[in-house]
Amino acid sequence: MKILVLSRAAVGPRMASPGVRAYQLAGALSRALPEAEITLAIPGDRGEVAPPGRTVRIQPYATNADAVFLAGQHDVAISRNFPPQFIRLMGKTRLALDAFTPLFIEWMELSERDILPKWRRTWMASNRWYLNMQLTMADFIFCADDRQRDLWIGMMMALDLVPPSVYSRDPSLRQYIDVVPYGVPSQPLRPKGPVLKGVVPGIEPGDRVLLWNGGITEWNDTGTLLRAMALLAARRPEVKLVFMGVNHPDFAFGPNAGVTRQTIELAEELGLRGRTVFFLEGWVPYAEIDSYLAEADASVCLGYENLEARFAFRTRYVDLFRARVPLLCTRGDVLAERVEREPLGITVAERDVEAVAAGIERLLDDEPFRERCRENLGRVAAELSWDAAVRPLVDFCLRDRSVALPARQRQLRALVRGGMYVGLKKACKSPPLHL
Amino acid sequence: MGPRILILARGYLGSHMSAPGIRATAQARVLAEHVPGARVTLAGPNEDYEQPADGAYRVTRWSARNLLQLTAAHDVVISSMLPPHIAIFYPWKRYVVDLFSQYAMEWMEVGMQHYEGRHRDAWAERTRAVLGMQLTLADFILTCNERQRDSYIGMMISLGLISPRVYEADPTLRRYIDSAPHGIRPEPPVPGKRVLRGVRPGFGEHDRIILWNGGIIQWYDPATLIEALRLLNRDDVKLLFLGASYPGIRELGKGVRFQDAKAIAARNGQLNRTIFFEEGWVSHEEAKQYVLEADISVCTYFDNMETRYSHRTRFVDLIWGELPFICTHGDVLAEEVAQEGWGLVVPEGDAPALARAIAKLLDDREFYARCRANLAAARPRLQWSATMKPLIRFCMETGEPVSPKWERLPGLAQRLTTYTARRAVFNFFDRKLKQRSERLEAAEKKERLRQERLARFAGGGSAK
Repeated sequence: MKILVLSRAAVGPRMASPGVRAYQLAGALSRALPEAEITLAIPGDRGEVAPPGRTVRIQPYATNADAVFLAGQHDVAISRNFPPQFIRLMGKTRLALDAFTPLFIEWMELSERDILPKWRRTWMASNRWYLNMQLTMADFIFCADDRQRDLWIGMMMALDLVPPSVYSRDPSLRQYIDVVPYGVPSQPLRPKGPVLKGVVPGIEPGDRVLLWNGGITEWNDTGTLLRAMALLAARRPEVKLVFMGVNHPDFAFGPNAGVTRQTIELAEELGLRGRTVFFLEGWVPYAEIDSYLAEADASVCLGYENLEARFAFRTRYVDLFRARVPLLCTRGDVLAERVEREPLGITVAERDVEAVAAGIERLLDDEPFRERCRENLGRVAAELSWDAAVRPLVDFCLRDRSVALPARQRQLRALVRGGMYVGLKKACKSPPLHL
Repeated sequence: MGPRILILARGYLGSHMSAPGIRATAQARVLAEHVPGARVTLAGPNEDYEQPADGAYRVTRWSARNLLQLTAAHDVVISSMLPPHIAIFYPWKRYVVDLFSQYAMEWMEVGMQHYEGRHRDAWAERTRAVLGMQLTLADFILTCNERQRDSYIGMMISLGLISPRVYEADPTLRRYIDSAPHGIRPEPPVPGKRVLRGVRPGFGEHDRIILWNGGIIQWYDPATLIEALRLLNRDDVKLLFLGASYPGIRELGKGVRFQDAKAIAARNGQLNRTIFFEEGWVSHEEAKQYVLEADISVCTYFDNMETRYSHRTRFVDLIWGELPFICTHGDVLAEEVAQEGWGLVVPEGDAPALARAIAKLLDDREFYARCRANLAAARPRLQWSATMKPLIRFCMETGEPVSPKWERLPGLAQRLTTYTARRAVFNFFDRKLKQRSERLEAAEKKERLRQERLARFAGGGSAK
């Protein structure tokens, strides 16, 4: 069997969560299906990276036409999104859609930044048809948690992808759409020596480090965190906050530059930058994350309790599970519920500066609580291994029949929906604002 | 002056109400009591309605004839299925759609039972068209739980109802679509006169009673429960299936599952010995006594899509009556049962596990008492006045709804057309089915008459 894992995001020494997911999925598939030939296709050339498994071949591609050609030579193609050209492969190559982010809602957040107000409606409508097309094309869909699954199922119902014939084949729909969480690599932490304490000017060996483990996006609330840090700066000068990723590898010019810049500006305004708040330039290479995680005393990630949070699976928490770093986060998403229930740390309401400051202090000082969190983190990490997570996808690859409607019946509809997408996208005349 | 609120109940109102009627009545009361200055009208499809004793709201009957008049006289219209034409005549009124079930899945199950082939496809298409239209019509949408809400948000995304303007107005969408679970009865659970022990034949003074609190619809699995009781093999454990036919809903009730359950019980020799069926529909008022007299309750079903999104309203009365219960894994309330300790949860179709669970819940006194205490603790947050907060809030709001009406207009026009077409197609198949069954019936009748006549002649012949 030939399986193509088509990454749409950078895979290389520096990669963000979508790239890591494609990389790890390819690895986990190769372990589960040793006799399968697996190709990991990566966009452009972003530097050498070791294949994630012995049977995995890495193949760079430049254009969508290349991607279609590659996919045509495989039995199964797995990707986060398929360009419209893939419609002609329907029924030949089986398509598995990795729907691990609720793209529509993320795009809604991004549209505010990227698109002129008068074109936002058109742009979002084109995105809506893009997603409709994706769901229509897919023979199998997998997402990160059950809540996302409910959202996708709602969309599929509205798109008439679950008629009685499909429902009667599988009333649980698990063979059509299932959950493949964002996993945790099974190898233990391998730090390569100090990278923060005593290394970054301003962070002393005896300091306590709070890690902001990832980039700064539209849906992050760094303002509240910085104000809490300002409260702490006077009474707890040894608490240092480190922003780990400033330049996101998937966006060369950094569309997040806006929010990142605002964060940096606010840190300077509050007089915190270089004193208790630090920004690491660039993006920490994937291989070196362990060194940073090993030095972190706790981690923070704040957002808002909105629709984006409700359907988000915060991939950045997963590394913390592996490194057993207790975290403080905003309520509202699936993993935050887990953090509160187990507990794995402390959750706070949105925009509550006092609660964040108090939470940070407790997370650093309450030793018995820290110990309990660390124990639970280890347990959750074991549960979320990639090899366990990838199971439903492996089952799909092994099944010769799909529960979805026959590809022939979906092809025309995918074409119509793809047409709507292309038409609306052409109609949207807004220049990309973030460049 | 407060808003004039019209609640259009699609189910029967009165003492024999099932969940839709109960929900509409509770909404009427809560809104009348909690929205300042509100004048609430509760309209049902039946004529034998009663006015509330304290006159908090007005009850009336709605029909195709007075519907427009009723709508004209109100500001807010609440219904589980809005008749679409009122929105054409009165587009500026505020409409609330109360989707307390994931109908796409529930009706899928109904369709599986009643229709076949293209008729079934037409039914599913009609369901989809109805839902698309209702979601587009609504200024505010209520669901029964968060899971239903998540799936409806998905549908709304695909229907293009979540525009940048909507998201900007309310990034949580709580003011557009929110969940309002089924509440519990307001009155305290005080046992009244007995209905089972020593009253109903077969129920002895010291019997332990298991209650199946509701009807047996397509998506329930009574066979596993009957099998579990056979495995348990205890003569003092009596099971009562309460409610067989649903008032006013043709598609539900005495269907295949009910007949099957009865047949299995009869075959095992359990029928009317340890397993009993209530053939009619016990009234909402009477049902209380059954809940208060039972020892435990059990409800088994399948772990499928219908279950995933369902909100089993039959459990609500059990919580009210503090009756520990056993249910199948898969739905939102089952999760709560496990988390809150209201009873036990079993995997689908696992009769031995169910038998063990029944034995534990009946015999482990300490565990049973703990379940009852946990149920009692849930009482305040499940009051209708607490669960209906989102609806109260919407009725008190004024001004533009989160989703501007003009933005929905093109979609609405398209979906009304689609709905009309889909309904026509479905009705065509329905009519054909009816004609066929009428023809069959006529043929059967003719055959019967012929046989009777033959028998008469033969009988007459032998008498001579």
